Amino acid sequence: MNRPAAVRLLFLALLVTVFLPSGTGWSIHPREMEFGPLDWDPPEPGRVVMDNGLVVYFLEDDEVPLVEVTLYFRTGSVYDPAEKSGLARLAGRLVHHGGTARRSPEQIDYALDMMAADLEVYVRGTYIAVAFSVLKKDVDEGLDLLADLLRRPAFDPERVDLYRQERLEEIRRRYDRPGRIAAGEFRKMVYSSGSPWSRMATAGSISSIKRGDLIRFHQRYFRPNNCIVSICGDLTGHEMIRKIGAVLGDWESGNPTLPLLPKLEWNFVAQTGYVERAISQSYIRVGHLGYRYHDPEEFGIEMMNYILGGGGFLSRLSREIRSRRGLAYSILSRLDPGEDLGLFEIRCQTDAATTHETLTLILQIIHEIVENPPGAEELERAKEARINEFVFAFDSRARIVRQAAWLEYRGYPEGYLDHWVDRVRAVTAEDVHRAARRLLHPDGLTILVVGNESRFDRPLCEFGEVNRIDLSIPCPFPGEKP
Amino acid sequence: MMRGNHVIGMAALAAAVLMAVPCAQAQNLEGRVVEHTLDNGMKLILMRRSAAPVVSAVIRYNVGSVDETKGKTGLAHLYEHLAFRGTRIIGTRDYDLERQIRSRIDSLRTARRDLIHLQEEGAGTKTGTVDEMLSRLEADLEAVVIREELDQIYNINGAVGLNASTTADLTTFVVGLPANRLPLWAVLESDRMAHSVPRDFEVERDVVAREKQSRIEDDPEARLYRTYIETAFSVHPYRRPVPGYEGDLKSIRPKEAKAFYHTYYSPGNAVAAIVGDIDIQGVIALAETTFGRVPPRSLPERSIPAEPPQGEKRTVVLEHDSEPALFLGFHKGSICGADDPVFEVLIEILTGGNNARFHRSLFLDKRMAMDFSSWIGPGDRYPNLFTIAARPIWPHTGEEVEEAIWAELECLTREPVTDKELTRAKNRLAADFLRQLRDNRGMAKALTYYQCVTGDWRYLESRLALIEAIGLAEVQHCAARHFVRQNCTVAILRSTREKEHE
Repeated sequence: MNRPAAVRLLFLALLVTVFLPSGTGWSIHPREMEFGPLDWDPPEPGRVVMDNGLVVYFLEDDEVPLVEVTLYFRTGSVYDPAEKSGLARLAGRLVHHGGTARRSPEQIDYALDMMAADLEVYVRGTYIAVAFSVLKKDVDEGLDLLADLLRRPAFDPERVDLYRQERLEEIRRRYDRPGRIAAGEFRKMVYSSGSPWSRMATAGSISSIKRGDLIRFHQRYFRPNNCIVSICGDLTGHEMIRKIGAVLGDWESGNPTLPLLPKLEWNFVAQTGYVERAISQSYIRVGHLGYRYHDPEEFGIEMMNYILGGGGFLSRLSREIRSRRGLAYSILSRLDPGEDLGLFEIRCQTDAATTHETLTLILQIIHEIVENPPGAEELERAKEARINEFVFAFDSRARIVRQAAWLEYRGYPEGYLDHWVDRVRAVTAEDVHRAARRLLHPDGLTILVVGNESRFDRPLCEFGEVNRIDLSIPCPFPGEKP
Repeated sequence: MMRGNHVIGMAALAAAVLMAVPCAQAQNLEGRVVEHTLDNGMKLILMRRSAAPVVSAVIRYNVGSVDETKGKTGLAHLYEHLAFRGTRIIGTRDYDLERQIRSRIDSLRTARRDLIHLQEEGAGTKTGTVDEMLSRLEADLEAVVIREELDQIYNINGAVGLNASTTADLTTFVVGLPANRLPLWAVLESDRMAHSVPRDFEVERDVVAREKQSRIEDDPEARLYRTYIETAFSVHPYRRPVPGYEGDLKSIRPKEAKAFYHTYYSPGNAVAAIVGDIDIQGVIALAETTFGRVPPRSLPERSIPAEPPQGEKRTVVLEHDSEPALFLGFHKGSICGADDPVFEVLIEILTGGNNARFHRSLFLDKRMAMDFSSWIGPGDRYPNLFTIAARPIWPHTGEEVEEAIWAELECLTREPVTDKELTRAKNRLAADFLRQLRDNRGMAKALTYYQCVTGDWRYLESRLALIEAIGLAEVQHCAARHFVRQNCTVAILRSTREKEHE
């Protein structure tokens, strides 16, 4: 199936030869080089649903003798009770490190390491992902161990205490880096500080999480009918299903309902925040609330953000602020959908002495994209870039099967990617403009600067009344003992 | 485009399975990797992986911050940035016109400076006319340059992971492309090798200065690392920060940057790897017609001063309003030294995974510190450092953690590690290699890396055989020879917060 691509490559090589004169210039300019479409069908993963509700995606990959398994659990840190903020993350840590009913934590560490297996547990706002990679020769032992961790974690009390202490130390270090301060405080401003969407664990909330909370968390969410698995590796599809079935097939289903969170509402009120730090750069964030998954205009929104600041050097923010003026090493905008309203944010670092200048430009560029539709050529380039890089969504079999599981987790319809290219191609300048007008609110922006105002070119209050945010961490925490 | 209909999809699946069979039996690189050297000295390393119609292409130039001259530190990194500003055909609509405008702008700016100088001396001169002419010329220039055109062309063609980096040893340009667009890469990169034009020099210098500030100066642990490296090396240029010393960047002139480029961005100093869905002979033909046309340039003799034996322990303390951290390290030989593979094993034994000694002893048992890691750096080509990093857990200080680390290291020198520890380390390193094989980008980077620093890409694989042969005694001897106080540098970040609470 790959032959045609290779043949075409050779043909193009000859073409290049023909068109290149001696000397310095090329007679066919790189910006005019054209290439045909890739003639390629990516492999399609299989899907089965087990009796206990577990959804399994599988795909063979015999390039190297490895097997990779990824599991997505429908939960996440936004569902933590306020007074136990940090629960999901601590639970994820202890499913991994707290031992099981059959094996001590030390035995698990030892077995994983001897197999040279990789295990990671990622706890994010609206999912937990468990990623496991093992050599083919160890696949049975590895899957047995993985299932043991997922089904029968012991939450060893000493390990619970240890990882609680680790979290406290991470919290103590939370404000040591200006980039981290900017990320956390910006969310607090946009979502309000008590919101589940911006809440951060505190020393108090971590200390109040008891072993029983972790056990209950696990029992509720680590259930087959709350999970989508992907498996990819050097086994036949039949073997993969059989092996997953052998270790997870008799896993009892449960009743994993998520707590209902109050629905977010669009509300755009201009506000300006400032955190003082003795640093040379200003860490700037500008943005507000964004949008939800499955927005009917998602393709227009995506292309709009690409043009604004998501498309690297093709984007307006980067062209103006980095390339033309040299004001920043990095500047980008993100506008990702969320389970509820996601976040729109522009991130930038500039010298303290160009803070006001840079902010002014950022606001101008947001205004501009709301005022006018993009130029035809600008939009065509952005669409072409996205369409041409689409093949990388399928650049490995492991990615293909993981992606299929993820799309189902996020509720995308079957065949969503089949129509992706056509839907990007169909986006018009008017779609982009409509998305900008609907989603961007230049008069309701949240601005945050972490930096040193004594070196600012002009005062921050020219952007509105400044809320000075005072951040400090007590050491030791109240009641903390060495 | 991606899925015709289901029948075709199944056929493709079957074809993919058939085609992948030979690879399944070949977990080694010999036979899968083809090497080709062009007449001008440029080396190509090609590997076919047909899992998807994509390629990763990496070019490394054998030049890094070690090759800079005194007073011009930061130049290698600056040029890596300038190399994105285009060539005689990229980044401009008309190179000759652009040059004319730039030279007139330069002379007007000189004239303007002279006028201001005269004004300051009391002459009644005005800059008004000159200012007007300048702004008109600047508008003309805007009309002729195309900023970031290289990135734009790559992006429009579906590039992913477009990036570049500079280290002490090497300058690297990386990109992933749909496989049918590889000719574009060859044209753009050979053009960059032959005709780079460092336009917008001052603007890019500012960008680089900001990168330096935000990466190093505003981050306490990055500052600590920089201090640690400067303390550990007294003579060898590994002591330099890659972004350069304060002030040096500002003193670099465009002419010096051009000379640096001409010296080091030459075909004989370049190694490229292309890994992905390629036709090997087709790519060689493509390279001959693109890179092969770049005339060879001679390389200068490099004289890098050797680092003398350390002699006594060095300790440096940085005070900062942040939580403590620690770097501790030892001088060792270069990547070609016999001990280097032993250090790869030591990295696994000490900080690789949850059974590693520091994690078990100082985190799980003593709860003194966390986030242990260890590595070899800042470069590989010359004798370098084995470094251990840790973050103390309150109320422990960097000094206490240092002593605890010493106790562990002395244990390593006193008695051999266990068989199981050694096996575990070897298993992990072998599995890492397997995982790397499935990643075009990682493979292209690794193949070029080992070609550049050891002279042979095969070292990526042959090091595994060396590692496999390592015995318990070698680990112990290596530890005993290196882990001594007179070969040690320690850098501690001490929290000024703790003082407030005392």
